[in-house]
Amino acid sequence: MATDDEEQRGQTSDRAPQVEIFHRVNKLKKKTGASPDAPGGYIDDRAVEQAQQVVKAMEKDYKVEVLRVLQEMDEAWQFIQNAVTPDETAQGHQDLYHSANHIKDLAAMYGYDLMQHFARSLRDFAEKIDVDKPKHRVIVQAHVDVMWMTYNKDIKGQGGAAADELKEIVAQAIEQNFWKSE
Amino acid sequence: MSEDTPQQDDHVPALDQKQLYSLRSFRVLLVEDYGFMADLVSSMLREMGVGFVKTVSSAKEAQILLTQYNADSVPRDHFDIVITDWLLPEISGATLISWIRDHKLDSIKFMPIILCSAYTSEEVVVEGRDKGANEVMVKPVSAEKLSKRMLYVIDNPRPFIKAPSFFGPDRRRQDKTFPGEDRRKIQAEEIETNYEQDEKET
Repeated sequence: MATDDEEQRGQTSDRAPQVEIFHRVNKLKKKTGASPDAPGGYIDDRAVEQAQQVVKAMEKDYKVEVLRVLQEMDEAWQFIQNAVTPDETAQGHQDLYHSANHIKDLAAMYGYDLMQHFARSLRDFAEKIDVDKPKHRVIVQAHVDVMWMTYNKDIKGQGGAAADELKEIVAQAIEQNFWKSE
Repeated sequence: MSEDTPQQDDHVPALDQKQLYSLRSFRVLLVEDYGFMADLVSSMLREMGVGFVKTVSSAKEAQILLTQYNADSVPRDHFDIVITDWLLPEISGATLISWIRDHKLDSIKFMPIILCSAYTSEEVVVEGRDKGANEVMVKPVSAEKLSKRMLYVIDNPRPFIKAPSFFGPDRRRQDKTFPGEDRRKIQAEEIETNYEQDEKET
């Protein structure tokens, strides 16, 4: 049997390759109504455009939805700080992580770059949080605060000078607390 | 597998030679834990003409539905494509893909899978590919990205490879030349599958 490394390099050896190849009938293409032998097809441009309109139509819900997830994120953060058992802490971490991730996805979808930036940063940091370290709490709180500020000021895109100021708050919180606490 | 832009074969038919695909008969299982995003993507799929979209919020629910529909029901009720998020609570998208590829039933293990990921790092794309995803779609999702991924899965069904440490769509793009010596040999023996029409090399 070849090793993975040998397989990737395509080297031969005395050992049997034990690689099987399955060529399958293209059932998806048959389901489109096209002949299996026909050249490639396409999806109606108008249908694709209508699908993109769904994204635009749901943009009106952005503010309400982000508000809802920010509140969930707050609750998760409170839950972590009040957690007693390891299971509760783990659950809180997971909730905080997913809330931040959802905000990131939503913000990315609608061009709220600054919110996306902070949400991604919080999501990535959420995996490392040790709530017993006060400095870690400062970092999370800094993220939560600037995300609320970004939301309340309705900053879209990169946000200019105001955004730089908010980024600096978080950057300093991390610089002064995370690295020095390790 | 590309991260975002599907690579086309050298021979690309002209638009007027291409056929308009109807997705009316398609049945898509969407695995997305974030409700807003699930509503958005499922609505997009329906606008594109997909006949049936079922949304679940966890890998566990996906496993139950796949087992129910693709194992116990008639083939016309089978899901055709799974679109799954990478980050899911409890059981991850990566684990779901492994579960699908390790399944004993052909109607599940060979399913086309489009992996949705907010991570753009090569590491995630490679891991998705190594788990057996057919395509990776990087968030934020757009109609153009989604339609390209669907089209690529329809038009470029890669053969499945079963190797000691891998089962899934061929990780070598068909339009790329493999620089090494190909040690994958066609053997005479046939291995039975549940699909009579499947052709198989071993």
